[in-house]
Amino acid sequence: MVLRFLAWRGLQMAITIIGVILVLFLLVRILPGDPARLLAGPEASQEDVEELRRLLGLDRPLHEQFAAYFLSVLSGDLGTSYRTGEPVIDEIMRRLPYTLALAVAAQTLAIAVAVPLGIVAALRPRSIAGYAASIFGVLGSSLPVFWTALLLIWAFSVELKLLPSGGAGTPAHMVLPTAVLALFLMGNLVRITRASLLEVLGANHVVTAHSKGLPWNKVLTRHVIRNALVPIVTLVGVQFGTLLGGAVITETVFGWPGIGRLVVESIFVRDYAVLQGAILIIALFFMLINFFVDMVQMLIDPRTRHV
Amino acid sequence: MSDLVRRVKAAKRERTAQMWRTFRANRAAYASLYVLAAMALMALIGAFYTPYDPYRIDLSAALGFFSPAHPLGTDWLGRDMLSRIMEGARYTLGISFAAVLLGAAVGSALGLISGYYGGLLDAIIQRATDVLLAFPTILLAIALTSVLGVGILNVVLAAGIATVPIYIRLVRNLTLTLRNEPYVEAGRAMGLSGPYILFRHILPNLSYVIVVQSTYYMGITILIVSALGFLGLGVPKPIPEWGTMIGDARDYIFTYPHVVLVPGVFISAAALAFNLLGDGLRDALDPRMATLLRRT
Repeated sequence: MVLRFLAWRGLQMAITIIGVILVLFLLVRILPGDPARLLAGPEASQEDVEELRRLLGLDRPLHEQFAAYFLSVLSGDLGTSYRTGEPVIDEIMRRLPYTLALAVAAQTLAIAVAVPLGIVAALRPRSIAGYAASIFGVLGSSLPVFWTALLLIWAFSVELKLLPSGGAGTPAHMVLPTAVLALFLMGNLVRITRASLLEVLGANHVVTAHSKGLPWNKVLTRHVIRNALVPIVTLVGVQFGTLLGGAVITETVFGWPGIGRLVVESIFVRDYAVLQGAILIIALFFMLINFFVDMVQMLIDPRTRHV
Repeated sequence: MSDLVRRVKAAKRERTAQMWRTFRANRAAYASLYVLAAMALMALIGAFYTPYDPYRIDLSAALGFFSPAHPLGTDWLGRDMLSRIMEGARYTLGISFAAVLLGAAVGSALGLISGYYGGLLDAIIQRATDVLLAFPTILLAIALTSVLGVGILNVVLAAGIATVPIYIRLVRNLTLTLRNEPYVEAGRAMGLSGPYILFRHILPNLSYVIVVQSTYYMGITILIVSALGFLGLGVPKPIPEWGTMIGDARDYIFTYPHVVLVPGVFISAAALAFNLLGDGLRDALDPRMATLLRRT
């Protein structure tokens, strides 16, 4: 059964990957203008454009072009950046560690604060933690990230002069972007943790375990937390996937040299080869993480195993 | 018979009254209704009247702090911030509303068709949805604007399309559960057409889920639209869309933070109000649907 599930999800993902590659292939061809010129960049000479057109086979029928593009992507060739003349994959590999570091830090901080807060809020709704959870829960997902980022820069870089306002290099550079992202993530995380715990606390098996005389902390660890974990793990997975590509705005405000900022940069300088490549890598990560979340879900909750 | 009709009508009225009482009891949601009404009014008035011309440059009044003449101060070109906020309300809120309407309409229609008819059509729509869901929402919106270019309609399209796959999934799953309900089967047995059953029997039964999801999505879309504006991928300058205002003013955070502060307060208040309103509507209409809805 588990194997069948794996095979089904794997097949689904393979189809999706082909679809994603197709969409990115069409992206450059939908844009007004000559795709060879778009990919070669505005400063390329006419000979360079013609050279690229032959290389990419842009004079051939569309389906043959797609086959060629698809095969080159599979072999790890994402094209060449016109700005640097470097392979796109090299640029992405240089950016990826920054995005990864920021994502891990922000997600860890968010979990460390939001999950305990959500648990306490569910157990003691009228405590300070309960009210804090309500406020964080709704504020985290209502404040625009670019605004909280600027506010923190104002408070900690301009007024207090404690932390750098942008760039990368030292651990201090990571503090503000991590805080901004974590605050944003905490909103949904606190809410889901509290809601999921409240639901399990009211379930029959918990009432039974409690009334048969099982000590309360055992009920909590063995029956409540485990069952409440499924929605939390799912959300963390989605959030982490989003962070790997969706930290676009935070990375831009803080000048953090990650892959999200690469997307924005390449839009502004019309480096479509880089844009295509970066979005493809982000989507691949996003899909892989969703796949991984499904696996973890299956381990925690056997009911999700049927196809 | 007429007695039965009367009793059904009375029961419906009673249920509506009960929902309204539940909603009223949620003070945050009820207050949000007023906040949103005030914002809508502001957007409406802003279309006809602003204290100053929101585009008029007056360098002698540049970067003024809050004062009686300029309640929200002036920006680096001396433009009145209150006037710009009032002018921009129409863009930020209007674009978000149009985008959610577009996403909900297209996504719900595709979800209904996909869930009700099944088969090859369903398979095709679902694989296409998988592809769209393979991109984080904000990234999808950014990628779409890079294809479409800057412009009001293009922001509506980009933010709208970015939400389509979420509606497709939600509505399809609900349609699947309703498809085999007795009243739907009865409709089929009576020979009613597919579209008639879809729009008269299935859609009304899931419309409230779409309404609540759309309320949350208004909050999210306001953030997406203003983020596009912030990045310079939204509406063209010098239109004072709220996110664009912050993007243009960002360097003043080091010297005159109020230029950045003010538009952010309005974006946050609008997004917050929609989030709280969504909670209130959810609890009033059907608390059980909480697990279905997406809030990211």
